[in-house]
Amino acid sequence: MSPNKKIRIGLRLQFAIGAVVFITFIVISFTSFFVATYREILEKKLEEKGVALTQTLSQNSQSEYFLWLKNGENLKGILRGVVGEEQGSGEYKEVHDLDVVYGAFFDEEKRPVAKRASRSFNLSPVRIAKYLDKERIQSQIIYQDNEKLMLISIPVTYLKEVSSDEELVFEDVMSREESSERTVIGYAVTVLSFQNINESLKTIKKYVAIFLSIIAGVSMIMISFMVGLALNPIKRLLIGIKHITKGNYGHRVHVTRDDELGDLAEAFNFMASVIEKSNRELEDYSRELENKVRQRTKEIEDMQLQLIQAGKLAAVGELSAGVAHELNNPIGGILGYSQFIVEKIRKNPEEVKKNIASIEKYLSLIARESQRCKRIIRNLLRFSRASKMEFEPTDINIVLKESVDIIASQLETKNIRFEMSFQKDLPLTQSNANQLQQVFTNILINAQKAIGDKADGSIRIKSFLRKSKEDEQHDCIEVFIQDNGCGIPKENLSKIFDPFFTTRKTGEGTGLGLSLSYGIVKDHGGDILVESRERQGSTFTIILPVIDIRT
Amino acid sequence: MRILIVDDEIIIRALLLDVLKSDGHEVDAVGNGYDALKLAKKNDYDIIFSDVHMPEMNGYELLTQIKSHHPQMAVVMMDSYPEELSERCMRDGAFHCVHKPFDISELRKVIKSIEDKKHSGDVS
Ligand SMILES: Nc1ncnc2c1ncn2[C@@H]1O[C@H](COP(=O)(O)OP(=O)(O)OP(=O)(O)O)[C@@H](O)[C@H]1O
Ligand SMILES: [Mg+2]
Repeated sequence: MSPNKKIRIGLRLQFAIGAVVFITFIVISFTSFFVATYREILEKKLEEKGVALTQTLSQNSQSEYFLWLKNGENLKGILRGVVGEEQGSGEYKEVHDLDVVYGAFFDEEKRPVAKRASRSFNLSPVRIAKYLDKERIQSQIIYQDNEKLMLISIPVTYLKEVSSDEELVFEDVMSREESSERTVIGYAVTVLSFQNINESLKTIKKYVAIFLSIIAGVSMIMISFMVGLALNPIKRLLIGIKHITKGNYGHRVHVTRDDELGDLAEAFNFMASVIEKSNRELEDYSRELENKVRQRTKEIEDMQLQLIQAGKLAAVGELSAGVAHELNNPIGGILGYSQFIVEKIRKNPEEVKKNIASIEKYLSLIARESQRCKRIIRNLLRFSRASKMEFEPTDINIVLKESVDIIASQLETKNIRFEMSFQKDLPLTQSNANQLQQVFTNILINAQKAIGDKADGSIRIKSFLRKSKEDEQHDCIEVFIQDNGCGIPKENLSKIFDPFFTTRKTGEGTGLGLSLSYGIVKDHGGDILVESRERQGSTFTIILPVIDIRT
Repeated sequence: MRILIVDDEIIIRALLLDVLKSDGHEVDAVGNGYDALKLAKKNDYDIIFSDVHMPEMNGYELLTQIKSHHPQMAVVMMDSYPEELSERCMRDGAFHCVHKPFDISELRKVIKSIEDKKHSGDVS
């Protein structure tokens, strides 16, 4: 789920681990309590058994008092019935209680009389003697090599009446019997091992451990199953959230639970429906907006077209005076010379024949001036022709030249020097020559007006091919039109391309020239830049991408 | 008659030179107002034909200069804007206005009327 490599401990695992730790803790404390209690009971039992055994020893020995006199040989027989054989002899091994590891008789003076051990038992009689008590049954925990053992001693007593017909050896004892007193004649001692208890407790512990593992395992499985069940709706919610994130707002989660998770799912579904609704509204809104934008764009385009027309008219109006002046001069020449020739022929045909060279001169002047009229009219027509957006391979240099011609011939530009440097072999580019001519003439007219009556006016016109650095980009033709006129104040620089922005007197400028030019250049995929300094002049740069000639 | 032609258009200058010379007048032609004033100072012209649209000094300026320094010279203005021209030229003391393009007979008429006036002693 998460992209980082850190190991994730899911809720399910967290719950399972928690449960196992908890159960283990409970079971361990219960087990230790149980084992402790059980050990206590077992030890009590062992003690009781030890005491009973020792009592048996004591009674057996006491009924055979004489045995004591035989220096313990016979007492050994009694011990044999209680204490198992030493390792290796194996005679009674099975029949005897394995808890008893040692049995012995001590005499009155606490000296060992007879002893028997079921296994290596190296507790010295002197040490055992310390635990013997004449008055009562002693039960004592002792340690041999760190092994816990239980020592039980019982005083062996002799009753006078019981042995009245027996021969008495000890005077003192006899006298005591007469007073019906019990006399201590020795001690019966057994030592029991806890080994068996430990063993059985070990078994119990083993079983408890197995039981515990089973419980833990089962509970882990059960808990993870239950947590899984509880997590299921959460997983579905997670999937739902992913759907919503991806934009699939119609997604709903199906959780039919009557608890907090059910509430959560319901809340989620509600949220999703709210998002879906608002998203739909948003989509509707943006579609509406798009439509509006499209409509507006069309309106603006229409307006642009109208502007182009209006701008053209303005430029035509601007030029018409100059055009009239300019056309009238050659026509005046043509008219005058033709009248003059006709006059001469009528008056004196002979002289005309003689002086035919002058007539030829007049006629060639007429022809030249007619050509001039033709050129002016052609330019004018191109300029005012209803512009279809027809692009054809165009030599920008030619368009520039013609624009300059129009300006130079039709406006008062006698004080202005035109410096032209056109890059040779400019590639042809797809464009609309009429429109580009409008652009150039508009900018040239502005330059001419910026120079006004100023002496030393100059307009530099330069064309230049800028090769593109990357292959994908078009090469660009850059046209610079630089004047040394009045310049444009900084605050106006950003406005000059706005339609109807003009600083001219009313009636003298429509403010459409540059906005129209801008639109045209944009239509050609190009751009117009302007640089200007007040009182020093302006430079307009027209950038036109070279678009390959269509096949 | 002594005539000065002022026009920045070569073709007009050439035409007027050719026509008027063949009519027997003494004709000079210049391309701008300064040269015209220089010549007017030197020579006593009877008529000055001047274009209105010229660089540096236009026809109106030339007209006022001529009228103030050489009021005896008849100035005939030539231009393509009929209304504007007539109004202003007459106010500023021009003898007549010729609208381009003109017939050469019209020029001759103007010259004739100036000649007539000159003989009767009334110029301007
Ligand atoms: N070369 C220039 N030097 C100084 N100012 C300029 C130059 N070109 C344009 N401007 C300024 O930009 C303004 C807008 O120019 P634009 O060509 O759009 O309109 P216009 O020339 O005023 O009117 P129209 O071109 O319609 O006759 C001009 O009024 C002028 O103030
Ligand atoms: Mg303009």
